Amino acid sequence: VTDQAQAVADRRVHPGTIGLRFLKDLPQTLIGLPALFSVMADTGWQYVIPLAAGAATILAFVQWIAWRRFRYGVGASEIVIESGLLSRNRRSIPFDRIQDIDIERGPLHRLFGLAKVKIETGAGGKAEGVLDSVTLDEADRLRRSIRAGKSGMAEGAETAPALAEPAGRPIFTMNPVRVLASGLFNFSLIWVAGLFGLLQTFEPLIPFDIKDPGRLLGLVEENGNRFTLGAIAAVLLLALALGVVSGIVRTTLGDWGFRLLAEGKRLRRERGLLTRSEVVIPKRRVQLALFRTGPLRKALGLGELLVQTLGSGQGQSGLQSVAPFATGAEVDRVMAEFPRLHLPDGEALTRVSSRHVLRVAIQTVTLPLFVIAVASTQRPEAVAFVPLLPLLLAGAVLRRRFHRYGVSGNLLFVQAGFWKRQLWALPMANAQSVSLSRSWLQRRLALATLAIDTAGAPGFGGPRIVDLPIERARELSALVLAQSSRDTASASRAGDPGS
Amino acid sequence: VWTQIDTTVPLRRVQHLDVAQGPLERLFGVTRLVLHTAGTANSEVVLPGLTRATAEAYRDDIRAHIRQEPE
Repeated sequence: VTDQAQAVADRRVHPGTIGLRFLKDLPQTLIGLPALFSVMADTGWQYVIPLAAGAATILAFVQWIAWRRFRYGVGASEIVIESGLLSRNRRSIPFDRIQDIDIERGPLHRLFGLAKVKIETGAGGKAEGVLDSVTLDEADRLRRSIRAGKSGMAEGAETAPALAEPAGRPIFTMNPVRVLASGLFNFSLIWVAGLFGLLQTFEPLIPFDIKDPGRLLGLVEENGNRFTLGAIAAVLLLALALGVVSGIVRTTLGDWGFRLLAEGKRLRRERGLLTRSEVVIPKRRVQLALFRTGPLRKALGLGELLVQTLGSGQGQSGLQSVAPFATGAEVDRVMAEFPRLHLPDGEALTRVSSRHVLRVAIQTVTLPLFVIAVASTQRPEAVAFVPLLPLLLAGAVLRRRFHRYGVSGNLLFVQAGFWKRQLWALPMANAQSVSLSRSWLQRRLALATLAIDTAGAPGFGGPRIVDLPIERARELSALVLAQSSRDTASASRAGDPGS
Repeated sequence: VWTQIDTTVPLRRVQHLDVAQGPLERLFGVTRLVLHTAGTANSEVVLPGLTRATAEAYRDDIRAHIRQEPE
């Protein structure tokens, strides 16, 4: 590819950006209020308004300068962004290094009909190029021309059908009822804990006694014992209700109007109530698929499907939800978009070693047993806790029942978890590295844990098979490595991130 | 000591390589070789305590492998 046409940064972001940033920064300037008040106390009212107006003018002027100094342009093979007030910065991003072009629209953006364009190259950290803000049409134009240039370079022969691109074909959408139902399953007690923490901090300001919600709800007698059953039940009920409400609110804000569209080689996802975000997932960048569900959702045949692309901005993992709350048939339809991926279909998955239960038992029961033994020398009634130990054991048995793995063609399946059931489908060619770890206890029991690292994986919680028999772990590791190092030109291209 | 971890990185998956030496390491005449992959949990795999010659030999070896690949 000849690159003679040097890209010229000849465009500016939309002038409305000045107003937008000004409004956005306004709350921060409230910090200046005390200063303003002290001036007011000294000199009286008449100076305040000109002063505030002056400050506002300066702020607006700074934004204007920043706007004037920020320029961008799209060339034949790269996008150029020039910015900086004092030290000028010229950044060029070659098209074929661009992973994603995301469009985000906050409430203010939508008010002005603008959009924020984020260009990601997958080089860790934040988005490499942010155009804040351009009109929607311009965002669309940018995306098209970058794509056209990109496909023209990567596939050569292809005559960049940017304009003839078919309109997206919806493959998964969520109506309001679905979003609300999804919210019901998204309840989280973390938010409740946070809320209580907040209430505690501001307790002196609150007219009622938050430590006693039972009384608050009128369930407990005014002078009753604080730790009555009623009070405890009331606290739990309140926590549960808050958990459900916060889950619904969070899901509604995030997933409102969820649409997943298929556009040729890409999937496009739009979602959000106040802040609409639009993310493009190139199919060939998808590293693996993850299906999440829980006992209740499983019983209703529902679950969430995610795919992992290369990590995108803000240090997040590349896990992107493509169907947050879907039935089996819907998940199948989304999965059909990825010919190289599928979920286990009747293929029997193997359980991990039965010695897993033994190991977990030793690891989880020994310490409590020891504690109880020590405690019972002082207080004999501590023995009453012994019946709880089989519960831990039952937990281990249950965990093993749901921890399975299997190989089908080029795919490795890993299933784990009872409450939070996760099922990975990983093309083995996409493995970046394989780790075999053996703790002291695992060595005694001839067990090993196999962890597979992939591009864009979250820092914690990728596919891991805990407590495989050691020979099986070695076998599997060799199999994954063989697939990962094999050079099968086009078949494994998708697993070839940087190039 | 307690948990033995055995990490394998396919040569194809190495993005770039570093040969690094801290002040202490310089004192003892050792180097470490750092392999960078595109993964997350093991995006850096460190081979500590190599002699400089060994580390560089490994590096050149791996580099040759990477270069052979058709891009």
